[in-house]
Amino acid sequence: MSLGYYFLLPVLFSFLTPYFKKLGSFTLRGSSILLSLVLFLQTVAYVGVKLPQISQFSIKPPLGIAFILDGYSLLFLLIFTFSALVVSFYMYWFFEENSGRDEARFYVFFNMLIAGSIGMILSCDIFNLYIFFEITGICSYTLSAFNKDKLGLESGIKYLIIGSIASIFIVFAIMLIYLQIGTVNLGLIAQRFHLIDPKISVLIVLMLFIGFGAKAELFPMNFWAPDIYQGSISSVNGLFSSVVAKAYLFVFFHLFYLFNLGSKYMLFVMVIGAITFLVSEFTALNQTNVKRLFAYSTLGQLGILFMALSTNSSQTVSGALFHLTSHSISKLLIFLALGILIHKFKSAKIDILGNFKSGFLTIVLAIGFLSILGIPPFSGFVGKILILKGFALSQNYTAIAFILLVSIVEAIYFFRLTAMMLDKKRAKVTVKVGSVNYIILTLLAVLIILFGVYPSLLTHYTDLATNALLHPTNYLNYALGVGL
Amino acid sequence: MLDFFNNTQTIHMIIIIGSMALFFIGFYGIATQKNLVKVLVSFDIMESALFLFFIGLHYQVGLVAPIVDKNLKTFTSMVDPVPQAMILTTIVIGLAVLALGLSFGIEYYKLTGRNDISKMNELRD
Repeated sequence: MSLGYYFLLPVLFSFLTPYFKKLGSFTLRGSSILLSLVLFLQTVAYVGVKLPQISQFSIKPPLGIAFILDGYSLLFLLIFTFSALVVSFYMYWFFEENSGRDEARFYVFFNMLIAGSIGMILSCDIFNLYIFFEITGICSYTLSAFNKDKLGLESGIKYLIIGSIASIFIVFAIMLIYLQIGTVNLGLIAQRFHLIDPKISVLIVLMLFIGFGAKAELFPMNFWAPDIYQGSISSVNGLFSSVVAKAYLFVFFHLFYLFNLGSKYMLFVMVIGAITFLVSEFTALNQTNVKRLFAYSTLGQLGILFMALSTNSSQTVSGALFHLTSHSISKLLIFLALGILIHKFKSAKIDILGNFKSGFLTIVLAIGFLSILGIPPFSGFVGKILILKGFALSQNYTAIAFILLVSIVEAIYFFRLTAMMLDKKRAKVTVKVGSVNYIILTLLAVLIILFGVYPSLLTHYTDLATNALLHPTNYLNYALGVGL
Repeated sequence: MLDFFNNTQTIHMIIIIGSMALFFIGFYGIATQKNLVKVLVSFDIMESALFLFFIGLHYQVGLVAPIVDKNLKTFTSMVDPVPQAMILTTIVIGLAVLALGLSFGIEYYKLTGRNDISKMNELRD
């Protein structure tokens, strides 16, 4: 199957949504599940195939446009399609419970969001990358305003304004690159990036940093993220945390290593990541809204990932990619489980949500919390320990001390939440979990434990991804059309 | 006198100064205006400045637009078509975002009767 179908199929399903709606809500919900299932199975079929794979459209690159799948994008593709599958099953339950909501509007933008994020990680052309960036952006604005109430619309408007600022910076950077080098192909840009006048190259890097950093929720530009998480429904929060933010992070580091910016800007990105981690974890301490709390927690984890991914050492980067996968699964589990509680209590205040009584939800939420915190035997522990081991091998003891110290702050609120759930006196309201949710939440929890107990299941793919990220020779050859 | 303007470098200079001025007008609008519609219009002004800048810098005296008609004799007598194709796409995207922003604004106004972005602060702890 050509890689182009990763984009074409979701777009096709998006445009067919009005017809599916006419055929009934079962078809509508089923179509989304079918689409995610097809994309996920197709991605699984790429596991073990010789990488990179290329699909060119009409003309051979570097003149034509192409999609390239290498080890690095394969890992993200697996995460994205898996998350989409889980969320589409969850939405089946959600619309069953909330009948009368505008289902078709959700599915149009959900499918396009998947198309946009996948396009961003496959495209080998910076202008196409910008188009997919905008598609993902527009869909996330609309999804965050899915509740057409005051809070939802406010979050949509805020996201749109931030997104417009980011896209102006990125358009400017792309224009400067084209004016300097005369191409939009990533391979050619990577080859000729060092020829650009240093002053202009600093300007380009700064603009790309602001543009992608603002979307990937980096420190000075991430004040908006908790607002948007608070205004959107919790399955959309799960998507933002495990797909959208990760897609922007993918592009950030893809360009970082392709343009070989590591030697100049490594310290800068590391410090920004560290500040993100520190500030977010301290702000998370006194949040009373559960969505804001986990938004800040997401920002904190992204801070660790930015610290670890910028190091250019293969152990740390591999650990960071492991942590990224584990974080995506855990955050998806937490947001979906919280969505069930928020639906029951019609509120997102921690005090009110703490009154639930359901053994199953307590167990899965505790698994999610402890995994993000990094307690064995869950996958978050392995991720954190691999990152720390990488830092130790490169003798960066400051980073180790910093991560461990800030993790104590993280521990305070996670243990507080866990203790609140286990408190027998509070538990009053019995919460029913639908059978679909039993299956998906169990699946996510089992995956967290499985990757925690047998990390080698995942480390093989993170090592492949690290190799592709740090040594993009094969990718560049394909992007330049050598030997096609 | 008119020969002075019929010079690629002069035209590029005028375009750089003009588009920078336009860019800062848009920036000023975003920084100072509180009405959502005015903020969105300011974004559009900023984007237009970028488009003019990019298209303008690829214009050279004596070259024609990259459209196949009787003026176009050889491919060397036309300007680079790639920036024009890129800008055309970017204009469409900008229009879509503007329309979406306005529709959010209308819905918000219907609910609350306000369109002041400095008062959109109900999302807090």
